[in-house]
Amino acid sequence: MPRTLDSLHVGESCTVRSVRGDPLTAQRFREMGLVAGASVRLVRRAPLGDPMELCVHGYHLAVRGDDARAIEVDASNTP
Amino acid sequence: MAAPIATAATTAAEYQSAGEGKKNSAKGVRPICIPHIVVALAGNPNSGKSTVFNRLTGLHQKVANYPGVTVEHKTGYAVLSSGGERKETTPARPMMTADVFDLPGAYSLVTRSLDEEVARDVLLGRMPGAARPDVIVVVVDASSLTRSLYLVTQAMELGRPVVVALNMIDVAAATGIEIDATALAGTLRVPVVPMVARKGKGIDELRAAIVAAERAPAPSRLWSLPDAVEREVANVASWLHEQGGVRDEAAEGEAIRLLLSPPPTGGAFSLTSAGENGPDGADLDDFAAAARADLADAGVPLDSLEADCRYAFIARTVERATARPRRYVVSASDRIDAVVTHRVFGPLLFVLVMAAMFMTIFSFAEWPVALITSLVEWLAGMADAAFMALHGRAVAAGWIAATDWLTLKDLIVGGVITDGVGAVVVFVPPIALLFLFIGLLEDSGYLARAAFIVDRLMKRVGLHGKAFIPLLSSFACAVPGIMATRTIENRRDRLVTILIAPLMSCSARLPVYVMLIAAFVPPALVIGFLPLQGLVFFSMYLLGMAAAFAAAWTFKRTILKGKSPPLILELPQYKMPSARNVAITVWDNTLRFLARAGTLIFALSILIWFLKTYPRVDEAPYLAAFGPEPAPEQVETARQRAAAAQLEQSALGRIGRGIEPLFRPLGFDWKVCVGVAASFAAREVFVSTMAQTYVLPADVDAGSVTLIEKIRGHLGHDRGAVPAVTLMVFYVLAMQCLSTLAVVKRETGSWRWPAFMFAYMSVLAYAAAFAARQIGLALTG
Repeated sequence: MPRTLDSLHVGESCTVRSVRGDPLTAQRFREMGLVAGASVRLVRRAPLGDPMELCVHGYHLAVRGDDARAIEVDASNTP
Repeated sequence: MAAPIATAATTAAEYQSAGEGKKNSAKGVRPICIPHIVVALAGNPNSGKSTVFNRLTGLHQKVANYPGVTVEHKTGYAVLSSGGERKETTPARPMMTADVFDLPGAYSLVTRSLDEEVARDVLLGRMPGAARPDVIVVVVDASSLTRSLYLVTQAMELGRPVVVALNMIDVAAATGIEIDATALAGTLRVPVVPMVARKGKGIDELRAAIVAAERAPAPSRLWSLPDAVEREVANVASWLHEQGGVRDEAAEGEAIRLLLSPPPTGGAFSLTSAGENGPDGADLDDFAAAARADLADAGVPLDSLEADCRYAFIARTVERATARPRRYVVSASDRIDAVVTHRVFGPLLFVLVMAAMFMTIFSFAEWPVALITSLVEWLAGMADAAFMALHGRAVAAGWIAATDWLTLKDLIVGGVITDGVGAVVVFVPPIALLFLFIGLLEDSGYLARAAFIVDRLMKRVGLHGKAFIPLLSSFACAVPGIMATRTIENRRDRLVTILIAPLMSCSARLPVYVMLIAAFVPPALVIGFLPLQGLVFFSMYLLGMAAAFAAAWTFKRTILKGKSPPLILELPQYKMPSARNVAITVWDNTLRFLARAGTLIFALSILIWFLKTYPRVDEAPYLAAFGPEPAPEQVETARQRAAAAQLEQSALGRIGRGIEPLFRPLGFDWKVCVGVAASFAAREVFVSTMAQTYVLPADVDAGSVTLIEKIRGHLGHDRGAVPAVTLMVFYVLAMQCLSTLAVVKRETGSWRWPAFMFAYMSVLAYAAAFAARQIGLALTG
C-alpha cells in the first residue's frame, strides 16, 4: 500500500508517484505541477487541521486532505 | 467593434509594408492612419497581470461584456509607441496604439469554467464581437516560474506571436532565484521581458517587445508527445483543417486539447459556437473520441500524458535558465506565514482584521455619509430657491401654469435630488471603504490566507474557502458580493454562494438596526460590562450569518446537490500593496456599483417618491385648525400632520394598507408595511419613511419630539423590545432589494434564480419574525 500525500508530516518531503481519483480533479492537480516525479513538501496545516499548505516547484499551494488522498507519493530520501 | 479594429490593423500592415520599401526616406512617410493592434493579456491569478494591465493602459480602461455571455472582461487602450522622428541615437518609430484585453486569470487554457471558455475563445478569435488578438502577452510570476510556464506553453499553441512578461523578478531574487531572461527566451524562442510591474520597471521594454512581436511568426511547439500520439494529433489537426472553422496555425493546439483534455460534458463547442462555418460539435466529439479510444487501446496513459510531457519540457527549460539556491531559503513570506497561519495567532489575527475592517467601514463611513447628505440637502435647497426665484418669471411669461411649476419643483427637489440622488450617494462611502480594504488585503496576499484559515468552516456547509470573499463583500452590499462570485469555478457552488450572499447584513440595513435599537433597547450593561445595545446589534449580524450557513447547507443537500471541485488555492508571496492597484480597485468597483445598482436605486427612489406624493393632500385645512395666525411651532405640527395624512392617502399608503393583513401576525401595522414596501428601492429608506409616517397623536411641542420617540410611542413601548426585534429579524432575513434581484438575474441569465431567492428569503424572514414575536411575547408575559 503506497503512501498518499495526506499522510505527510509537517516539514516532510516526498515525490509524487501518481495522481488517481476523479479524472477532472487529477487533471487540475497535474496542471498545478503535481505530476509524477515532482517534489512536494508539507509546509504546514491550517489552524483547524485542514487544508494543508504544500510547497511544490517553489510555490505554495493549499489543498484539502480529502483531495490529497488521491495523490500517491514516495518518501524522499533527502536528509 | 471588430470591424474598425480589423480595418485599423490592416491599415497598419499596409502602412508598414509600404514603409519598408522606402526605408531610407522614412522622413517623408507620414502615417495615414495610426497603426492599431489587439493585445490579449493572459496569466495565472496572482501573477501581477492586473498590475501590468493598469500600467499599460493607465485609466483608459473599461469593463465590457461579450454579447450573449455574462462574463465580463476589462479592455483598455494603450499607446505602445508614441512615435518620433529619427534622431542621432534613436531610429524613427511609427506610432502604435493597442486595445488590450485583460483575460480572466487562469492556470490552464483547458476549459472547465465559463471564464476559461471565454478566455480561450477570445484568444482563438472565435468570440463574436471581439477581434482576434495580434499578440498574446503572458504574464509570468518569476517566483513560481515552473508552474507559470505551463500556461505559456499552451498560449504558444494558439497560432499567435507570444511575449512573456517575466514579472516580479524582485520577489524571485529575494528567495534566491536568479532567472536568465536571455537564456529563457532562447529556449522558448519567444521574447522574454524581465519586469517589476509594481514599480513600473520593464513596462517600456514590454511595449517595445509587443510592437516588435506584432510582425513575428507564430511560435512553434517545442515539447513532444510519444510518436503514436503525435500521429493522432496530426490526424485530428488535418481533419480540423479540412472541416474549416479552426485556423491552421491553431489546429495542432486544438487537436492536442481534444485528444488529451476533452471538455468534461462533451461538446467541444458547447458554450460558444465555433462560428457558422465551423465544424459541427457532435462530429468533432465523435472523431476525437474515436482517436482517443485507439490510443487508450494502445496503452497510452491519456489522462496524465499532456501534463507530464509539458512539465518534462518545462523542467529542462527552467533548469537551463535559472540558478536556484542549493538549500531551501526561508523567505520573508514564510516568516510572516508562521504567525499569520499559526494555530493560535492565525485565527486571532483573522478575527482582529475582520473586526477592524467592519469597525472602520461603519465608523469611518459615517462622516463622509453625513457630509454627502448635507451636500445633497444643500443642493436641494439651492434648487428649491432657484425654482422659487424663477417662479414669477416663468408664470408671467406664460411658459407654465403656477401649480405645474410647483409640481415640477417638488419632483426635482423632492423626488430627484433628495430621494433619488440622496438614496444612491449614501452607499458610496461604505462601498468605497470596503473595496479599499479588499484591495489592500488582496494585493498584499492576505486574502488567500483568510480563505486558507476559514476553508475548514466553509467545508462544513459544502463550500470552499474561496466563497468567503464574496460573502465578505456582501456585508457592504450584496451587489458587488454577487459579482465577486465569478471566481468560483463550479456552477452549483457559485449559485449557492449567490443565494446566501444577501443574508449577510449589508450597509443599507445598518441604519434600520441603529434606529430600532436606539428606540427600544435600553442602554444597559450585561454582566457588568457588555453594552446590551451592542450585543443586540451584533446578534443581528450573527443571525444573518447563521441563516446563510444553514441555507447553504440545505441547498447543497437538496436542489444544488453535487460534489465540489477540489480546493486549489495558491498562497502567493506577501507583497507591499501598491497604492495604484488599490486605487484602481476602489475606483472601478465603486463605478461599477453605481452603474449596476445605483441607476436602479435612483429610478426606484423616484418611483416611490411618486407613489407617496400622489394623490396630493392639501396642507391648508391642517393649518386652519390652529386659527388664523398660528405660532411657528403650530405651523410645524400642522405640516407634519399634513405629511402624515399625505402618506396615508397616497398610493404607497394604500399599498401599505393592502398588505397589512399579510403582516398582521407579525404585529406590523399599515405604517410599518409602508416602510417595508418602500424598502425595495434601498432598505435604509425605511428610516425616512418612518419619520414621515409617525406623528404623535397628542398636541406635543413638535420640535422636541425626535424620530426615535415618535416610533417608540407608536410601536408600543409597553411591549418592550418585542416589536423592534421582530422587525429587525424580518429585515435581517427578507429579500427587499430590487438591485440584488436584478444582479442575480444578470449573473444567472434567467429570472428563475432571483424568483427562488425572493421566495425562500421571504418565507424564511416571515417564519423567523413570527417565531421571534411569539417567543418575545411569551417571555414578556
